[in-house]
Amino acid sequence: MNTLYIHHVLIVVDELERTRQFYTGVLELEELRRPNFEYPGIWYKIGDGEQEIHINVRSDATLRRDKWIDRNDIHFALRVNSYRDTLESLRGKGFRDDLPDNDLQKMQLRPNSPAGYPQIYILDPDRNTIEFHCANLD
Amino acid sequence: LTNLERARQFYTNVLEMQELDRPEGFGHSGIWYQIGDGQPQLHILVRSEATLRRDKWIDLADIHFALRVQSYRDTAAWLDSKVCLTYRISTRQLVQQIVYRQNVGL
Repeated sequence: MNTLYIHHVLIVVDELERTRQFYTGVLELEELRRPNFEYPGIWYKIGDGEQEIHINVRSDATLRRDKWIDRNDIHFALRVNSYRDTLESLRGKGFRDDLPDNDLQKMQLRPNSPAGYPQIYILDPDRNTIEFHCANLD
Repeated sequence: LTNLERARQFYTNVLEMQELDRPEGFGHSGIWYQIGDGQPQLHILVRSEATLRRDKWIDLADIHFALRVQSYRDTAAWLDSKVCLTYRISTRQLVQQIVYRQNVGL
């Protein structure tokens, strides 16, 4: 099959405004125009626009509601330019790596991951896990 | 997912995705796949206690990932030849079908 690229991942959340506050307000992702679907939601543009994150508000779908950061559970990873800059930016937004695991502001750092690239993990308000990583540790 | 060989059978043999070298030291077995020409990869882990859609079927509005393909028609025909019974409404739903088939082990 001639597969070109991963176009989007769709995640689900419980509530729209808190999600917008996080992805638009905190992560500063750019919202895209979203056609009308059965469920409310938001689309975001990633990078130069070939890739997107789609979010549906749907309480009865597959949520990680009672879970915390778990690198080995479902997540999506965003490639960034700099580990150091991303870490600093996340710290500026209130994320900290010295918080208990059951804190939504917890940030988990893996500068020397077996994956071969440095990683930072955070949660969105509905416990969707987001990984940031870059090619090399800076 | 819950069974590595069944997953490999699906992603490597049915979808013909290209396996990548996967480093050791993750604590769970799994496979990495190359998607398209560039960086994007699909990482698969065998882990029964993680968040699975085990008891669910196709649900276009539930979590999924989407693969951009060159041609809707070619992809539908290709899926027909591979797994029959393709669910044709949109490209997005074709992908959902793929996720569904993986979940049920086809």
